[in-house]
Amino acid sequence: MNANSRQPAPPVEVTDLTCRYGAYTAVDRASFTVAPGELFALLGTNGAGKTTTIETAIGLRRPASGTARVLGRDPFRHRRELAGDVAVIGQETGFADDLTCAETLRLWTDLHRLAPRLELLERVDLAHRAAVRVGALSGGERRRLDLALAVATAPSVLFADEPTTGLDPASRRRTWGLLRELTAQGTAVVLTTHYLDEAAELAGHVAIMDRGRIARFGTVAEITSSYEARITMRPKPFDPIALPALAGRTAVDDGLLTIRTTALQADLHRLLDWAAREGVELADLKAGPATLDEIFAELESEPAPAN
Amino acid sequence: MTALTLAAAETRLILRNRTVLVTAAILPLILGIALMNSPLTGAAQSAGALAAVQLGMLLMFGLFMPITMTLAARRQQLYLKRLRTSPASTASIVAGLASPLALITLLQTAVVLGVTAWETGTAPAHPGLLVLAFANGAITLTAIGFLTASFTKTPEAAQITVLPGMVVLMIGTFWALAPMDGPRGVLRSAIPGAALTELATAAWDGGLDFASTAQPIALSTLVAVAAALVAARLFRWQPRD
Repeated sequence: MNANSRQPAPPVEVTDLTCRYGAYTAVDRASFTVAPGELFALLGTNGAGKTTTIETAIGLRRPASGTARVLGRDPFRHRRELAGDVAVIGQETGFADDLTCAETLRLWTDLHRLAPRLELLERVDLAHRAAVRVGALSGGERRRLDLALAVATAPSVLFADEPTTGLDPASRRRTWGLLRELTAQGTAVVLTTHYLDEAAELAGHVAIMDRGRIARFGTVAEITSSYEARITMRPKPFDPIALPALAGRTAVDDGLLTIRTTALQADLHRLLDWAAREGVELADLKAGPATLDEIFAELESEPAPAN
Repeated sequence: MTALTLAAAETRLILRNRTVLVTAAILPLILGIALMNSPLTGAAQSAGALAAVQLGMLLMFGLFMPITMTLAARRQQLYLKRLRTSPASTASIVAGLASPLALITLLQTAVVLGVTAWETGTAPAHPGLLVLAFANGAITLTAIGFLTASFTKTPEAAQITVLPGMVVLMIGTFWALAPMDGPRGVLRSAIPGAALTELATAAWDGGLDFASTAQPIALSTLVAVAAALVAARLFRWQPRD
């Protein structure tokens, strides 16, 4: 963003961001922008560089090169000024174990010079645990308390680093609901997650990080459609030579037939016709776009990018 | 304001951890009183010298060591990382964590020096200067503790990393018991612990006008500010990778 521009700065703007730990490059020239009210998801395996990207964007680390700007400012230099507008949900909550839920929330609002907002405990279903020390909470309850703290400051930007990891399905859905509420109010959200379904459910745009670089960018549909779809089954009886002509590639492993295809509907149609005609049972039949695991596996099998 | 908020939370944490509370409150107290009858300080030239050593030891065991360990432990628990995402400044975080410890040490000092006054039949000539000596020592030792925590990876490592600071503080505290004039005296005042001894001795025994206390105060403040600035630059707010 040009300093002289009349356009307001985007809530999050990461440009050619590179972060290193000694000789190890954790983030390699990553770039993305998040608009107000947008939920942007960073996906990737452990060690892909997601958390380092977030830690740099919240001002905990200085980049080796490139920039991360939040609300138009350098988060490392303007950490305190940005703290009122930026909320963070970390992988680890960082609460003091001997403070209660209510005291923790109160401490947080006091630090932000806000009126106490204990009603937020009710929104994350922790009102009945208000007087319980944080150390006695379950992992899921801690994550929910973290969410209450994030919401308490009505942030313009929220960085949520794997906020649903370890949550039960109901808590996960509740978290999704709160994230949706925030984006509806105009909060820009950067979410890191291992779950493609979560990204598909919540995110406008997605970036998949692999070995520090952004390897894929787009909507979930765009990304999955750029990979071959999979059809898997165990035909009984099975004679590979008798298979119909298919657009996709076939492979057999321990009786499991896998077809990778760019023509999912047509190949599936041919297979069903063939099975009906030949009297073949298609046991364990599954068909669909590539899963995140499959995409990660393909990315990892690609050679490392040259520096 | 922010430091007070953090100090209130830290006080709760100390009060709720019985082991920490007992260790922080009782042990330095025993040490301070035991010093009264030790051969080392029993031969002290004056009640002021005895009070100065007691104050130095109380601050070392009650503030310097605990603040180093507290910072390392809170970092390990990711509490400091959490605070770093709040509007709290570096100074208010350190002050917020140190002030309950300083308050406990102040109460211990009042008890120990009260016993010293009763035992020796003396009283501080300048009580205000004694308070200033405590404040000066508390600020200096908090800064040195912050600096020590900056190269302390874990709370366990703090048991070792505090040793150089303890040695320097003891050198400063005991060396300053003897009078020293000229440039060497000026240099000595810069050693952490020395200014504290000079001020406390003068506060108890008299014989030092308020104007001449400016030198140890200025030098020790300079050392504290330098230590805090270096620490702020080196300190990591989350566990090392």
